[in-house]
Amino acid sequence: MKVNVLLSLITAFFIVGFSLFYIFAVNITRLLMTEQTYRKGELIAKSESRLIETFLEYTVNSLLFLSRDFSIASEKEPMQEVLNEYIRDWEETPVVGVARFDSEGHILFTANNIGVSDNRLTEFVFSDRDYFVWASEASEGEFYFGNPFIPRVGITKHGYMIPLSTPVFSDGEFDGVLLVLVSLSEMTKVFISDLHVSPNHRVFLFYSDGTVLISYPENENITGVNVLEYISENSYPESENTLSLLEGLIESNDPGKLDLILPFGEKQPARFLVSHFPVVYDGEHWSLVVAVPESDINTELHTLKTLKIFMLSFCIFMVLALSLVSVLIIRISRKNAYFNGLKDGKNGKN
Amino acid sequence: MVRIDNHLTRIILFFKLLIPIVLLISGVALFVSEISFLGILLGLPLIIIGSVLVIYTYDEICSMWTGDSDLKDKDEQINY
Repeated sequence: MKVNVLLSLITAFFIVGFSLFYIFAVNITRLLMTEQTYRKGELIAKSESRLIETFLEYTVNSLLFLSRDFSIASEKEPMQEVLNEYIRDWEETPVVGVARFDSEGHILFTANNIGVSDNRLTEFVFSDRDYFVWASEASEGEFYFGNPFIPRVGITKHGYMIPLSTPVFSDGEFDGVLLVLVSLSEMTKVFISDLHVSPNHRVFLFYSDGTVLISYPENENITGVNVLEYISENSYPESENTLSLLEGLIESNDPGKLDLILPFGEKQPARFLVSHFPVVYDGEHWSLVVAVPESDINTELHTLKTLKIFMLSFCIFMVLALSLVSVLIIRISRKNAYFNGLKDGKNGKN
Repeated sequence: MVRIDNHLTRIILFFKLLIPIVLLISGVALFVSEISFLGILLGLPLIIIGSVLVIYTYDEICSMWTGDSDLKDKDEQINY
């Protein structure tokens, strides 16, 4: 009986030990995976924001270079060819269109790399557009980095565009404006769609007022919508908290990570692990946000948990098996000892 | 080795062994389930109770199998 009590105590001790280790292993794995996801998100947000900043800088430099080109400025060379050549060089990049306006705001020449031809373009006067107004008062070598907008004519189906413009001078006189359009939708395809954190991760580029400029995977219902207004109008549990945290995120100039319940789950609001990084260029401040749904981590954890369940079951089985073997050995030993003792007693041995 | 001839004893032993095994398996299932706190609270005692009962039942089977419980009665059968 005493042996059984001892074996039971030892078995119980080991089982409790293994169980506690299992709980510890599961929790530590969850913590580590969450931290790793945040880090991956931060890394991707940082690299994507740097890519966007560098790309914009490079585009602006090429625009300034183009505007200084004598053939563009003087209109003596076949300007259309120059623009076609320029846009061919930017093929498969977010630069989707280039246009040359005269000093009155009429389009002289235009080229785009998405095959759109809109004859109405020449009928419009663009002198009231902010990029034209700014450029008409600017000096040579200055550039305008405009707010994202959706064009009313021409390349209209490609969503938000960033206008980059610079004045063109001829013999020191203002001679028009050179405009380059950068598509945010193409920017998503080129810079964002290939970098994955998890199977269902989301990437957003928020404008400084909270407008969603980029949404990956592309969602027309969200792109162009002010996310703060959207959450205010479609409230859900914890939406107040999300709203205040999101406001802080959009205003922040620093990178960071947050645990947010966003209304972008598959069917209903879901918990996301959010890493964000600011995109700062020429005074504009955007926020690039990488959001990983918690369900993705749970899916990965499930695979690891199955392995741990097998290990726990194996350990319990081994402890139990050892105890049972011990019981068997003890029983056989006792029997043998009894027979040997009996034999020795009959033979008169002490 | 001693044979367990009585059918009723066999059936009782079978259930005596089955119950702790069921307790053990259900304990493990509860413990690893997604019911975080309640699963641990119920699962761990079930595993321990199941294991202890398995040890005791197995011990009973072993003692019957080896004849350890009635060795003294078998003294006459020993061929010296």
